[in-house]
Amino acid sequence: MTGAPAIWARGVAKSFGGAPVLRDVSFDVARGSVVCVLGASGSGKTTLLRCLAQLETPERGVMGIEGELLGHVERGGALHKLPARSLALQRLRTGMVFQRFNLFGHMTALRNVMEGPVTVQGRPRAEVEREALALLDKVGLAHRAGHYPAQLSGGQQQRVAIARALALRPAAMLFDEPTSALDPESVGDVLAVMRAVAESGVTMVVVTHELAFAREVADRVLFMDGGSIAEDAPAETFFAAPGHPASRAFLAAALSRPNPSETIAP
Amino acid sequence: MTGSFSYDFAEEAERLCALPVRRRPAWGHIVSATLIVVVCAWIVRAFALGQIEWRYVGAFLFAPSILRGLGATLLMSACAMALGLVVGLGLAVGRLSSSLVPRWFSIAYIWLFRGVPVILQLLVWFNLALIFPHVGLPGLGEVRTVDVMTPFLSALLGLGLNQAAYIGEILRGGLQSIDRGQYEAAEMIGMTRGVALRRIILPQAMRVVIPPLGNEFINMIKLTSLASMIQYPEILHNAENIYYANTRVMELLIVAGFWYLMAVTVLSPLQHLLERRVSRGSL
Repeated sequence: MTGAPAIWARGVAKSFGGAPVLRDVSFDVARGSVVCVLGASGSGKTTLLRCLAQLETPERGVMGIEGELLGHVERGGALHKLPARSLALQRLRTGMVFQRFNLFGHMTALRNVMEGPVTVQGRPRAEVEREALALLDKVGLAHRAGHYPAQLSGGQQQRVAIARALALRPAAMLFDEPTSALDPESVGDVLAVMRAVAESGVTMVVVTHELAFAREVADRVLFMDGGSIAEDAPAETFFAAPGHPASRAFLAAALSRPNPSETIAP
Repeated sequence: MTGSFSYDFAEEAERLCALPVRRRPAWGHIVSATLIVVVCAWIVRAFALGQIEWRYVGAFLFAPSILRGLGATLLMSACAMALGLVVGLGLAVGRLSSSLVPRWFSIAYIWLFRGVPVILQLLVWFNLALIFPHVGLPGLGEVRTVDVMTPFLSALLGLGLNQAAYIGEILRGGLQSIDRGQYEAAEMIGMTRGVALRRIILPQAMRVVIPPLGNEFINMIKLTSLASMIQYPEILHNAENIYYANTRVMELLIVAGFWYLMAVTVLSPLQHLLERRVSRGSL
Protein backbone atom coordinates (compact mmCIF):
# COMPACT_ATOMS: atom_id res chain seq x y z
CA MET A 1 0.00 0.00 0.00
CA THR A 2 1.55 3.26 -1.08
CA GLY A 3 0.23 6.79 -0.58
CA ALA A 4 -2.62 7.86 1.65
CA PRO A 5 -5.44 5.36 2.13
CA ALA A 6 -8.84 6.13 0.57
CA ILE A 7 -10.50 5.85 3.98
CA TRP A 8 -8.85 5.88 7.38
CA ALA A 9 -9.82 6.07 11.03
CA ARG A 10 -7.73 6.60 14.17
CA GLY A 11 -8.92 6.14 17.73
CA VAL A 12 -12.62 6.38 16.96
CA ALA A 13 -14.84 5.96 20.03
CA LYS A 14 -18.59 6.26 20.46
CA SER A 15 -21.07 5.35 23.16
CA PHE A 16 -24.84 5.38 23.38
CA GLY A 17 -26.28 6.36 26.74
CA GLY A 18 -23.03 5.64 28.53
CA ALA A 19 -22.61 2.18 26.96
CA PRO A 20 -19.51 2.12 24.75
CA VAL A 21 -20.25 0.89 21.21
CA LEU A 22 -16.90 1.70 19.59
CA ARG A 23 -13.62 1.74 21.55
CA ASP A 24 -10.50 3.11 19.96
CA VAL A 25 -11.12 1.87 16.40
CA SER A 26 -8.36 2.45 13.83
CA PHE A 27 -8.02 1.10 10.29
CA ASP A 28 -7.08 1.94 6.71
CA VAL A 29 -8.89 1.13 3.47
CA ALA A 30 -6.77 1.19 0.31
CA ARG A 31 -8.16 2.96 -2.75
CA GLY A 32 -10.24 0.62 -4.91
CA SER A 33 -10.25 -2.18 -2.38
CA VAL A 34 -13.20 -3.96 -0.81
CA VAL A 35 -13.30 -4.29 2.97
CA CYS A 36 -15.91 -6.45 4.65
CA VAL A 37 -16.73 -5.71 8.27
CA LEU A 38 -17.78 -8.90 10.03
CA GLY A 39 -18.82 -9.62 13.59
CA ALA A 40 -21.71 -10.60 15.80
CA SER A 41 -24.76 -8.37 16.22
CA GLY A 42 -23.99 -5.55 18.63
CA SER A 43 -20.26 -5.62 17.97
CA GLY A 44 -20.35 -2.07 16.59
CA LYS A 45 -20.12 -2.79 12.84
CA THR A 46 -23.10 -0.67 11.83
CA THR A 47 -22.15 2.20 14.16
CA LEU A 48 -18.67 2.24 12.63
CA LEU A 49 -20.17 2.48 9.14
CA ARG A 50 -22.61 5.19 10.25
CA CYS A 51 -19.68 7.19 11.63
CA LEU A 52 -17.99 6.96 8.22
CA ALA A 53 -21.27 8.14 6.64
CA GLN A 54 -21.41 10.95 9.25
CA LEU A 55 -24.85 9.86 10.34
CA GLU A 56 -23.30 9.47 13.79
CA THR A 57 -20.67 11.74 15.32
CA PRO A 58 -17.82 9.94 17.09
CA GLU A 59 -16.98 11.22 20.56
CA ARG A 60 -13.27 10.79 19.99
CA GLY A 61 -11.03 10.02 17.07
CA VAL A 62 -10.44 11.29 13.57
CA MET A 63 -11.54 9.86 10.24
CA GLY A 64 -10.66 10.80 6.70
CA ILE A 65 -11.74 10.06 3.17
CA GLU A 66 -9.84 10.85 -0.03
CA GLY A 67 -7.59 13.46 1.54
CA GLU A 68 -10.35 15.22 3.51
CA LEU A 69 -11.01 15.06 7.22
CA LEU A 70 -14.52 13.81 7.94
CA GLY A 71 -16.71 16.45 9.55
CA HIS A 72 -13.80 18.73 10.45
CA VAL A 73 -11.45 21.20 8.93
CA GLU A 74 -7.95 22.01 10.20
CA ARG A 75 -7.45 25.69 10.87
CA GLY A 76 -4.95 27.50 13.10
CA GLY A 77 -3.61 24.38 14.78
CA ALA A 78 -7.04 23.04 15.72
CA LEU A 79 -9.86 20.99 14.23
CA HIS A 80 -13.11 22.87 13.68
CA LYS A 81 -16.50 21.29 13.05
CA LEU A 82 -17.72 21.79 9.48
CA PRO A 83 -20.86 23.89 8.98
CA ALA A 84 -23.97 21.97 7.86
CA ARG A 85 -23.61 23.00 4.22
CA SER A 86 -20.01 21.76 3.89
CA LEU A 87 -20.96 18.60 5.74
CA ALA A 88 -23.71 17.96 3.19
CA LEU A 89 -21.26 18.44 0.34
CA GLN A 90 -18.78 16.09 1.99
CA ARG A 91 -21.46 13.39 2.25
CA LEU A 92 -21.61 13.38 -1.56
CA ARG A 93 -18.25 11.59 -1.52
CA THR A 94 -19.68 8.55 0.24
CA GLY A 95 -22.58 6.59 -1.21
CA MET A 96 -24.62 4.78 1.42
CA VAL A 97 -26.74 1.66 0.94
CA PHE A 98 -29.07 1.00 3.86
CA GLN A 99 -30.36 -2.27 5.24
CA ARG A 100 -33.94 -1.02 4.76
CA PHE A 101 -33.25 0.55 1.29
CA ASN A 102 -34.82 3.92 2.26
CA LEU A 103 -35.89 4.78 -1.28
CA PHE A 104 -37.93 7.98 -1.50
CA GLY A 105 -41.48 6.63 -1.50
CA HIS A 106 -43.06 9.45 -3.51
CA MET A 107 -40.64 9.14 -6.43
CA THR A 108 -40.29 6.54 -9.17
CA ALA A 109 -37.13 4.43 -9.37
CA LEU A 110 -35.77 6.76 -12.07
CA ARG A 111 -36.52 9.92 -10.05
CA ASN A 112 -34.88 8.35 -6.98
CA VAL A 113 -31.67 7.90 -8.97
CA MET A 114 -31.90 11.40 -10.52
CA GLU A 115 -32.74 13.32 -7.34
CA GLY A 116 -29.19 13.76 -6.04
CA PRO A 117 -27.49 14.78 -9.28
CA VAL A 118 -30.32 17.15 -10.29
CA THR A 119 -31.36 18.73 -6.98
CA VAL A 120 -28.07 18.68 -5.07
CA GLN A 121 -25.43 18.86 -7.80
CA GLY A 122 -27.53 20.95 -10.16
CA ARG A 123 -26.56 18.96 -13.24
CA PRO A 124 -28.66 19.19 -16.43
CA ARG A 125 -31.75 17.00 -16.21
CA ALA A 126 -31.50 15.40 -19.69
CA GLU A 127 -27.90 14.30 -19.15
CA VAL A 128 -28.70 12.96 -15.66
CA GLU A 129 -31.70 11.06 -16.98
CA ARG A 130 -29.58 9.31 -19.62
CA GLU A 131 -27.05 8.36 -16.97
CA ALA A 132 -29.70 7.25 -14.50
CA LEU A 133 -31.32 4.99 -17.08
CA ALA A 134 -27.89 3.50 -17.87
CA LEU A 135 -27.34 2.88 -14.13
CA LEU A 136 -30.76 1.25 -13.76
CA ASP A 137 -29.88 -0.91 -16.75
CA LYS A 138 -26.62 -1.88 -15.06
CA VAL A 139 -28.50 -3.10 -11.97
CA GLY A 140 -30.97 -4.91 -14.25
CA LEU A 141 -33.96 -2.66 -13.63
CA ALA A 142 -34.28 -0.46 -16.73
CA HIS A 143 -37.75 -1.93 -17.25
CA ARG A 144 -38.80 -0.79 -13.75
CA ALA A 145 -37.69 2.85 -14.14
CA GLY A 146 -41.27 4.17 -13.91
CA HIS A 147 -42.23 2.09 -10.87
CA TYR A 148 -42.64 3.47 -7.36
CA PRO A 149 -40.73 1.75 -4.52
CA ALA A 150 -43.95 0.20 -3.15
CA GLN A 151 -44.35 -1.56 -6.51
CA LEU A 152 -40.88 -3.14 -6.34
CA SER A 153 -39.66 -6.19 -4.41
CA GLY A 154 -37.09 -5.73 -1.66
CA GLY A 155 -34.27 -6.92 -3.88
CA GLN A 156 -35.31 -4.56 -6.67
CA GLN A 157 -35.54 -1.64 -4.22
CA GLN A 158 -32.06 -2.39 -2.94
CA ARG A 159 -30.64 -2.43 -6.47
CA VAL A 160 -32.31 0.94 -7.18
CA ALA A 161 -30.77 2.21 -3.93
CA ILE A 162 -27.33 1.14 -5.14
CA ALA A 163 -27.93 2.94 -8.45
CA ARG A 164 -29.07 6.04 -6.52
CA ALA A 165 -25.82 6.07 -4.54
CA LEU A 166 -23.66 5.45 -7.63
CA ALA A 167 -25.35 8.29 -9.54
CA LEU A 168 -23.43 10.81 -7.41
CA ARG A 169 -20.11 9.20 -8.45
CA PRO A 170 -18.96 8.74 -4.86
CA ALA A 171 -15.34 8.10 -3.96
CA ALA A 172 -16.45 5.25 -1.71
CA MET A 173 -19.54 3.11 -1.26
CA LEU A 174 -20.72 2.09 2.20
CA PHE A 175 -23.08 -0.88 2.57
CA ASP A 176 -24.94 -1.48 5.83
CA GLU A 177 -26.08 -5.12 5.83
CA PRO A 178 -27.55 -4.64 2.35
CA THR A 179 -29.05 -8.14 2.09
CA SER A 180 -30.26 -8.66 5.68
CA ALA A 181 -33.82 -7.47 4.99
CA LEU A 182 -34.22 -9.47 1.76
CA ASP A 183 -35.93 -12.73 0.97
CA PRO A 184 -33.43 -15.45 -0.02
CA GLU A 185 -34.26 -15.28 -3.75
CA SER A 186 -33.35 -11.57 -3.98
CA VAL A 187 -30.05 -11.81 -2.10
CA GLY A 188 -28.19 -13.24 -5.09
CA ASP A 189 -29.29 -10.40 -7.42
CA VAL A 190 -28.10 -7.73 -4.99
CA LEU A 191 -24.78 -9.49 -4.31
CA ALA A 192 -24.21 -9.78 -8.08
CA VAL A 193 -24.66 -6.01 -8.44
CA MET A 194 -22.28 -5.39 -5.53
CA ARG A 195 -19.72 -7.71 -7.15
CA ALA A 196 -19.97 -5.64 -10.35
CA VAL A 197 -19.51 -2.41 -8.38
CA ALA A 198 -16.42 -3.89 -6.70
CA GLU A 199 -14.98 -4.89 -10.07
CA SER A 200 -15.47 -1.34 -11.39
CA GLY A 201 -12.82 -0.24 -8.87
CA VAL A 202 -14.94 1.72 -6.39
CA THR A 203 -13.65 1.60 -2.80
CA MET A 204 -16.18 -0.35 -0.75
CA VAL A 205 -16.80 -0.89 2.96
CA VAL A 206 -19.42 -3.61 3.44
CA VAL A 207 -20.99 -4.55 6.76
CA THR A 208 -22.43 -7.98 6.11
CA HIS A 209 -23.33 -11.41 7.37
CA GLU A 210 -22.79 -12.94 3.90
CA LEU A 211 -19.60 -14.90 4.57
CA ALA A 212 -19.49 -16.40 1.06
CA PHE A 213 -19.62 -12.92 -0.44
CA ALA A 214 -16.90 -11.67 1.92
CA ARG A 215 -14.66 -14.62 1.12
CA GLU A 216 -15.11 -14.15 -2.62
CA VAL A 217 -15.09 -10.36 -3.04
CA ALA A 218 -13.33 -8.79 -0.04
CA ASP A 219 -9.68 -7.83 -0.11
CA ARG A 220 -9.58 -7.41 3.63
CA VAL A 221 -11.77 -8.35 6.55
CA LEU A 222 -12.25 -6.25 9.66
CA PHE A 223 -13.57 -8.50 12.40
CA MET A 224 -15.25 -6.59 15.21
CA ASP A 225 -15.84 -7.83 18.71
CA GLY A 226 -17.22 -5.77 21.60
CA GLY A 227 -16.68 -2.43 19.86
CA SER A 228 -13.06 -3.02 18.86
CA ILE A 229 -11.42 -4.42 15.78
CA ALA A 230 -10.32 -7.85 16.95
CA GLU A 231 -8.73 -8.80 13.66
CA ASP A 232 -7.75 -6.87 10.53
CA ALA A 233 -6.47 -9.32 7.93
CA PRO A 234 -6.47 -10.13 4.22
CA ALA A 235 -9.64 -12.06 3.40
CA GLU A 236 -7.84 -15.31 2.47
CA THR A 237 -5.91 -15.27 5.75
CA PHE A 238 -9.00 -14.48 7.79
CA PHE A 239 -11.02 -17.36 6.36
CA ALA A 240 -8.15 -19.87 6.11
CA ALA A 241 -6.51 -19.17 9.45
CA PRO A 242 -8.39 -16.70 11.69
CA GLY A 243 -5.90 -15.25 14.14
CA HIS A 244 -8.11 -14.11 17.01
CA PRO A 245 -10.04 -16.46 19.32
CA ALA A 246 -13.21 -14.40 18.75
CA SER A 247 -12.86 -14.72 14.94
CA ARG A 248 -12.36 -18.46 15.25
CA ALA A 249 -15.46 -18.80 17.45
CA PHE A 250 -17.48 -16.62 15.06
CA LEU A 251 -16.47 -18.57 11.96
CA ALA A 252 -17.01 -21.92 13.67
CA ALA A 253 -20.52 -20.86 14.77
CA ALA A 254 -21.36 -19.40 11.35
CA LEU A 255 -20.28 -22.55 9.53
CA SER A 256 -22.20 -24.87 11.85
CA ARG A 257 -25.33 -22.72 11.33
CA PRO A 258 -25.30 -22.31 7.58
CA ASN A 259 -26.74 -19.16 6.08
CA PRO A 260 -29.79 -20.17 4.01
CA SER A 261 -28.81 -18.08 1.02
CA GLU A 262 -25.45 -19.83 0.83
CA THR A 263 -26.73 -23.37 1.11
CA ILE A 264 -29.98 -23.30 -0.86
CA ALA A 265 -28.71 -21.30 -3.82
CA PRO A 266 -27.52 -23.80 -6.47
CA MET B 1 -57.94 -37.95 1.42
CA THR B 2 -61.58 -38.63 2.12
CA GLY B 3 -60.77 -42.22 3.06
CA SER B 4 -59.55 -41.25 6.50
CA PHE B 5 -63.03 -39.98 7.52
CA SER B 6 -65.67 -42.26 8.97
CA TYR B 7 -68.26 -40.94 6.47
CA ASP B 8 -67.89 -39.70 2.91
CA PHE B 9 -66.89 -36.11 3.61
CA ALA B 10 -66.72 -35.17 -0.07
CA GLU B 11 -70.47 -35.79 -0.38
CA GLU B 12 -71.20 -33.81 2.79
CA ALA B 13 -69.06 -30.87 1.59
CA GLU B 14 -70.84 -30.91 -1.77
CA ARG B 15 -74.22 -30.82 -0.03
CA LEU B 16 -73.12 -27.83 2.09
CA CYS B 17 -71.83 -25.98 -0.97
CA ALA B 18 -75.16 -26.39 -2.72
CA LEU B 19 -77.12 -24.75 0.13
CA PRO B 20 -78.31 -21.17 -0.58
CA VAL B 21 -76.90 -18.41 1.64
CA ARG B 22 -79.61 -16.23 3.22
CA ARG B 23 -78.96 -12.86 4.77
CA ARG B 24 -80.46 -11.95 8.09
CA PRO B 25 -83.10 -9.24 7.65
CA ALA B 26 -81.56 -5.87 8.64
CA TRP B 27 -84.18 -4.87 11.22
CA GLY B 28 -81.83 -2.33 12.80
CA HIS B 29 -81.40 -0.49 9.48
CA ILE B 30 -85.12 -0.46 8.75
CA VAL B 31 -86.08 0.86 12.20
CA SER B 32 -83.36 3.52 12.39
CA ALA B 33 -83.95 4.74 8.81
CA THR B 34 -87.68 5.08 9.49
CA LEU B 35 -86.98 7.04 12.69
CA ILE B 36 -84.58 9.41 10.94
CA VAL B 37 -87.03 10.06 8.09
CA VAL B 38 -89.87 10.75 10.55
CA VAL B 39 -87.78 13.18 12.64
CA CYS B 40 -86.49 15.00 9.52
CA ALA B 41 -90.02 15.28 8.12
CA TRP B 42 -91.17 16.75 11.44
CA ILE B 43 -88.38 19.36 11.44
CA VAL B 44 -89.01 20.31 7.81
CA ARG B 45 -92.71 20.63 8.58
CA ALA B 46 -91.99 22.84 11.59
CA PHE B 47 -89.85 25.15 9.47
CA ALA B 48 -92.41 25.18 6.66
CA LEU B 49 -95.32 26.03 8.97
CA GLY B 50 -93.27 28.26 11.34
CA GLN B 51 -92.93 32.01 11.29
CA ILE B 52 -90.74 31.94 8.19
CA GLU B 53 -91.51 34.01 5.15
CA TRP B 54 -89.74 31.94 2.51
CA ARG B 55 -90.00 34.70 -0.07
CA TYR B 56 -87.56 36.73 2.07
CA VAL B 57 -85.11 33.86 1.88
CA GLY B 58 -85.43 33.89 -1.90
CA ALA B 59 -85.19 37.66 -2.08
CA PHE B 60 -81.98 37.92 -0.04
CA LEU B 61 -80.25 34.73 -1.22
CA PHE B 62 -78.47 36.64 -4.01
CA ALA B 63 -78.57 40.11 -2.46
CA PRO B 64 -75.37 42.06 -3.32
CA SER B 65 -74.48 42.56 0.34
CA ILE B 66 -74.82 38.82 1.03
CA LEU B 67 -72.68 37.91 -1.99
CA ARG B 68 -70.06 40.50 -0.95
CA GLY B 69 -70.13 38.85 2.47
CA LEU B 70 -69.57 35.44 0.86
CA GLY B 71 -66.56 36.86 -1.00
CA ALA B 72 -65.18 38.35 2.24
CA THR B 73 -65.68 35.01 4.04
CA LEU B 74 -63.84 33.07 1.35
CA LEU B 75 -61.05 35.67 1.15
CA MET B 76 -60.56 35.64 4.92
CA SER B 77 -60.63 31.82 5.07
CA ALA B 78 -57.96 31.56 2.37
CA CYS B 79 -55.71 34.29 3.83
CA ALA B 80 -55.99 33.10 7.46
CA MET B 81 -55.39 29.51 6.35
CA ALA B 82 -52.31 30.58 4.33
CA LEU B 83 -50.93 32.50 7.32
CA GLY B 84 -51.70 29.51 9.55
CA LEU B 85 -49.86 27.15 7.19
CA VAL B 86 -46.73 29.30 6.98
CA VAL B 87 -46.50 29.97 10.73
CA GLY B 88 -47.62 26.41 11.50
CA LEU B 89 -44.83 24.93 9.39
CA GLY B 90 -42.34 27.06 11.29
CA LEU B 91 -43.83 25.86 14.60
CA ALA B 92 -43.71 22.20 13.53
CA VAL B 93 -40.08 22.43 12.42
CA GLY B 94 -39.19 24.39 15.57
CA ARG B 95 -40.98 21.87 17.78
CA LEU B 96 -38.89 19.05 16.27
CA SER B 97 -35.64 21.01 16.29
CA SER B 98 -32.77 19.68 18.32
CA SER B 99 -31.94 23.14 19.68
CA LEU B 100 -33.66 24.43 22.76
CA VAL B 101 -34.79 27.92 21.72
CA PRO B 102 -37.01 27.05 18.73
CA ARG B 103 -38.40 24.01 20.53
CA TRP B 104 -39.49 25.95 23.60
CA PHE B 105 -40.75 28.88 21.56
CA SER B 106 -43.02 26.51 19.62
CA ILE B 107 -44.25 24.79 22.76
CA ALA B 108 -45.04 28.13 24.44
CA TYR B 109 -46.75 29.52 21.31
CA ILE B 110 -48.97 26.46 20.90
CA TRP B 111 -49.80 26.47 24.61
CA LEU B 112 -50.84 30.14 24.52
CA PHE B 113 -52.78 30.25 21.26
CA ARG B 114 -54.59 26.96 21.82
CA GLY B 115 -55.41 27.89 25.38
CA VAL B 116 -57.23 31.18 24.77
CA PRO B 117 -60.64 31.37 23.01
CA VAL B 118 -60.47 32.60 19.41
CA ILE B 119 -63.12 35.24 19.98
CA LEU B 120 -61.00 36.69 22.80
CA GLN B 121 -57.92 36.71 20.54
CA LEU B 122 -59.89 38.56 17.85
CA LEU B 123 -60.97 41.19 20.37
CA VAL B 124 -57.38 41.61 21.62
CA TRP B 125 -56.04 42.22 18.10
CA PHE B 126 -58.90 44.58 17.31
CA ASN B 127 -58.24 46.59 20.47
CA LEU B 128 -54.45 46.44 20.28
CA ALA B 129 -54.30 50.24 20.23
CA LEU B 130 -55.13 50.16 23.95
CA ILE B 131 -51.69 48.67 24.65
CA PHE B 132 -49.66 49.92 21.70
CA PRO B 133 -51.10 53.29 20.63
CA HIS B 134 -48.48 53.57 17.88
CA VAL B 135 -46.72 50.94 15.81
CA GLY B 136 -43.72 51.35 13.55
CA LEU B 137 -40.08 50.66 13.04
CA PRO B 138 -37.43 53.01 14.43
CA GLY B 139 -36.29 55.27 11.59
CA LEU B 140 -39.17 54.32 9.32
CA GLY B 141 -41.76 56.42 11.10
CA GLU B 142 -44.78 55.46 13.15
CA VAL B 143 -48.52 55.18 12.54
CA ARG B 144 -51.47 55.10 14.87
CA THR B 145 -52.43 51.51 15.67
CA VAL B 146 -56.15 52.19 15.22
CA ASP B 147 -55.47 53.13 11.59
CA VAL B 148 -53.59 49.89 10.91
CA MET B 149 -55.69 47.42 12.89
CA THR B 150 -58.57 47.35 10.46
CA PRO B 151 -61.20 44.64 10.93
CA PHE B 152 -59.53 42.74 8.07
CA LEU B 153 -56.03 42.74 9.62
CA SER B 154 -57.37 42.01 13.12
CA ALA B 155 -59.38 39.06 11.82
CA LEU B 156 -56.46 37.81 9.73
CA LEU B 157 -54.04 37.89 12.67
CA GLY B 158 -56.57 36.57 15.16
CA LEU B 159 -57.76 33.66 13.02
CA GLY B 160 -54.46 32.93 11.25
CA LEU B 161 -52.19 32.93 14.29
CA ASN B 162 -54.67 30.83 16.25
CA GLN B 163 -54.96 28.42 13.34
CA ALA B 164 -51.14 28.20 13.17
CA ALA B 165 -51.06 26.53 16.59
CA TYR B 166 -53.38 23.75 15.42
CA ILE B 167 -51.73 23.38 12.01
CA GLY B 168 -48.34 23.26 13.73
CA GLU B 169 -49.43 20.22 15.70
CA ILE B 170 -50.92 18.55 12.60
CA LEU B 171 -47.74 19.13 10.60
CA ARG B 172 -45.58 17.92 13.48
CA GLY B 173 -47.52 14.66 13.45
CA GLY B 174 -47.05 14.44 9.68
CA LEU B 175 -43.30 15.05 9.87
CA GLN B 176 -42.92 12.52 12.68
CA SER B 177 -44.79 9.89 10.69
CA ILE B 178 -41.98 9.81 8.12
CA ASP B 179 -39.38 7.12 8.74
CA ARG B 180 -35.96 8.33 9.99
CA GLY B 181 -34.42 6.41 7.10
CA GLN B 182 -35.88 8.95 4.67
CA TYR B 183 -33.98 11.79 6.42
CA GLU B 184 -30.80 9.73 6.44
CA ALA B 185 -31.11 8.78 2.77
CA ALA B 186 -31.68 12.44 1.91
CA GLU B 187 -28.61 13.45 3.93
CA MET B 188 -26.52 10.79 2.20
CA ILE B 189 -27.26 12.24 -1.24
CA GLY B 190 -25.91 15.56 0.02
CA MET B 191 -29.10 17.35 0.98
CA THR B 192 -29.16 19.94 3.74
CA ARG B 193 -31.99 19.81 6.28
CA GLY B 194 -34.02 22.45 4.46
CA VAL B 195 -33.78 20.79 1.05
CA ALA B 196 -34.54 17.37 2.55
CA LEU B 197 -37.61 18.81 4.24
CA ARG B 198 -38.88 20.41 1.04
CA ARG B 199 -38.04 17.64 -1.44
CA ILE B 200 -38.33 14.42 0.56
CA ILE B 201 -40.11 14.78 3.89
CA LEU B 202 -42.94 17.27 3.29
CA PRO B 203 -44.21 15.68 0.05
CA GLN B 204 -44.57 12.36 1.87
CA ALA B 205 -46.01 13.93 5.01
CA MET B 206 -48.72 15.54 2.82
CA ARG B 207 -50.42 12.16 2.52
CA VAL B 208 -50.93 12.12 6.27
CA VAL B 209 -51.76 15.79 6.84
CA ILE B 210 -54.15 16.59 3.97
CA PRO B 211 -57.25 15.04 5.60
CA PRO B 212 -56.85 16.91 8.92
CA LEU B 213 -55.83 20.11 7.07
CA GLY B 214 -58.98 19.88 4.93
CA ASN B 215 -60.90 19.59 8.16
CA GLU B 216 -59.18 22.72 9.48
CA PHE B 217 -60.02 24.65 6.30
CA ILE B 218 -63.70 23.70 6.64
CA ASN B 219 -63.58 24.80 10.27
CA MET B 220 -61.94 28.06 9.23
CA ILE B 221 -64.76 28.93 6.82
CA LYS B 222 -67.22 28.71 9.69
CA LEU B 223 -64.82 30.31 12.18
CA THR B 224 -64.69 33.50 10.07
CA SER B 225 -68.26 34.15 11.28
CA LEU B 226 -66.67 35.13 14.63
CA ALA B 227 -65.03 38.08 12.83
CA SER B 228 -68.52 39.58 12.56
CA MET B 229 -67.93 40.61 16.20
CA ILE B 230 -65.13 42.95 15.15
CA GLN B 231 -66.99 44.49 12.22
CA TYR B 232 -65.41 42.35 9.50
CA PRO B 233 -68.08 42.36 6.76
CA GLU B 234 -68.41 38.62 6.15
CA ILE B 235 -71.68 36.77 5.45
CA LEU B 236 -73.06 36.60 8.98
CA HIS B 237 -72.16 40.22 9.70
CA ASN B 238 -73.97 41.42 6.59
CA ALA B 239 -76.95 39.13 7.22
CA GLU B 240 -77.23 40.56 10.76
CA ASN B 241 -77.14 44.10 9.42
CA ILE B 242 -80.07 43.25 7.17
CA TYR B 243 -82.17 41.66 9.90
CA TYR B 244 -81.48 44.52 12.31
CA ALA B 245 -83.30 46.63 9.70
CA ASN B 246 -86.11 44.30 8.59
CA THR B 247 -86.37 41.91 11.61
CA ARG B 248 -86.52 38.80 9.35
CA VAL B 249 -84.02 37.05 11.64
CA MET B 250 -84.63 33.40 10.81
CA GLU B 251 -84.88 34.07 7.06
CA LEU B 252 -81.49 35.77 6.93
CA LEU B 253 -79.88 33.14 9.14
CA ILE B 254 -81.11 30.54 6.64
CA VAL B 255 -79.60 32.60 3.80
CA ALA B 256 -76.25 32.80 5.63
CA GLY B 257 -76.36 29.13 6.56
CA PHE B 258 -77.04 28.19 2.95
CA TRP B 259 -73.87 29.93 1.75
CA TYR B 260 -71.64 28.46 4.49
CA LEU B 261 -73.01 25.06 3.55
CA MET B 262 -72.33 25.69 -0.15
CA ALA B 263 -68.73 26.79 0.50
CA VAL B 264 -68.06 23.66 2.53
CA THR B 265 -69.80 21.44 -0.03
CA VAL B 266 -67.57 22.71 -2.84
CA LEU B 267 -64.48 22.23 -0.69
CA SER B 268 -64.96 18.55 0.13
CA PRO B 269 -64.45 17.18 -3.44
CA LEU B 270 -61.45 19.50 -3.80
CA GLN B 271 -59.93 17.90 -0.71
CA HIS B 272 -60.59 14.47 -2.18
CA LEU B 273 -58.79 15.45 -5.42
CA LEU B 274 -55.83 16.78 -3.46
CA GLU B 275 -55.64 13.58 -1.41
CA ARG B 276 -55.46 11.52 -4.58
CA ARG B 277 -52.78 13.78 -6.00
CA VAL B 278 -50.46 13.50 -2.98
CA SER B 279 -50.91 9.76 -2.51
CA ARG B 280 -48.79 8.92 -5.56
CA GLY B 281 -46.45 6.03 -4.87
CA SER B 282 -48.61 4.38 -2.23
CA LEU B 283 -50.43 1.18 -3.01
